[in-house]
Amino acid sequence: MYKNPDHFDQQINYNIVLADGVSKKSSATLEDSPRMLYFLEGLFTQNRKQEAISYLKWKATHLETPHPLKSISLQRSTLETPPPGILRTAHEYALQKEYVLDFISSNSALQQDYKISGAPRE
Amino acid sequence: MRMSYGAYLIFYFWNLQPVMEMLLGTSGLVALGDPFPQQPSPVPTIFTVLSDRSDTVVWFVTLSGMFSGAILASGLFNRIASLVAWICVSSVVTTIPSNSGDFLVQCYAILMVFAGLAGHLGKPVWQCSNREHSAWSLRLFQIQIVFVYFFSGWHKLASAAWHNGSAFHYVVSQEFWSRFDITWLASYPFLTSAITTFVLFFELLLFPVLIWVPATRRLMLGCGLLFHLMIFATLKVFVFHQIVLLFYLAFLTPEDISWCKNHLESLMKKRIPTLLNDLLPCHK
Repeated sequence: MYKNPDHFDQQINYNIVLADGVSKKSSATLEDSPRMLYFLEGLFTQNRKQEAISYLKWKATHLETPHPLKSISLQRSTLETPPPGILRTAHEYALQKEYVLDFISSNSALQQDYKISGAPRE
Repeated sequence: MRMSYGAYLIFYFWNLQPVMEMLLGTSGLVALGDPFPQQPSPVPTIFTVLSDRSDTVVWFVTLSGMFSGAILASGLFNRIASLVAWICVSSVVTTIPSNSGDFLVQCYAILMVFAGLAGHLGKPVWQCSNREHSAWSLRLFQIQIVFVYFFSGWHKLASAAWHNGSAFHYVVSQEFWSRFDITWLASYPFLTSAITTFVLFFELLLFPVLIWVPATRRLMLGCGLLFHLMIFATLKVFVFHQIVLLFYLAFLTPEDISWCKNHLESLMKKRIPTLLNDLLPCHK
């Protein structure tokens, strides 16, 4: 991490969309420990899509929501850091990559199939 | 060193338990059955031998690690405790998302096994023992941390950011890894450049050389302590700084320990009566 510091800052967020259409965004920085942040960062930097989807499935089973989940995604946004002595021009974080797990509910209330979508947006 | 490491293991395993449960618990990522590529371990671990999808095994590893730490700290059964600690640490480090700090913990565990098997870990506190031991086991710890610093600095030199003095500028600009906002430091390129250069000097030259000189040993330990405490206070680097400070204990002599102890005692004797005097008027 510090042998070759990234020339950008990042944010990793969870985006949860419920079946009633309500969406909620939360920051992994506030929710997760440094070790978990390291794990989440690795999912993006090492392009570990299958692991990311597995993690989102696990995360979905550990969320308490008033309504069933429609989708859950893990987003990484970045903001370039200018070199020393140069003023920053951009101030908004730009979405760099996203892993999305959609839930498709069948007729049976007990059964939920997963549709894995979200080819990472670069 | 033994007591500190034992106490640290209790804290280390307790903090790892949620991550282990997420990965290897009954309803963890491995149990979900999806192709979750585990980091393959070169040696059998407790998880590969028993089960890699059981809360019971996760708790077994956690409690074994904590218990071995407690036994190490007490000084009883040093040989067995250091072995159990090493098995638990190795099982964990090769399985969870780990960083260089975790590998240092594993190194420490291995060196503790050598010291333990050689009978160099001393006796319990209540059995006062002035028996002297060979220095080789202590030297292993000292050489290990010197190598860590030197090669860390050496690898940093391959990065342009460290070479041109801008590395610290990019580090403080990362709010993601900061405990609080220190991005204002990036407005002072001279300061960030100076810190970058100092870090390189410290890792490549100052610590590896001056730590062996009796006249500068305490100064280097003090600088290193300050350095790591500052980073720990400002950045979310986990494990690394704590385990490096445990390695520092290998450089302390009995005179250093007596000096620290006397200094603390005199500080407590002076400060506590003053604090009590300040508090008493408030209570009245």
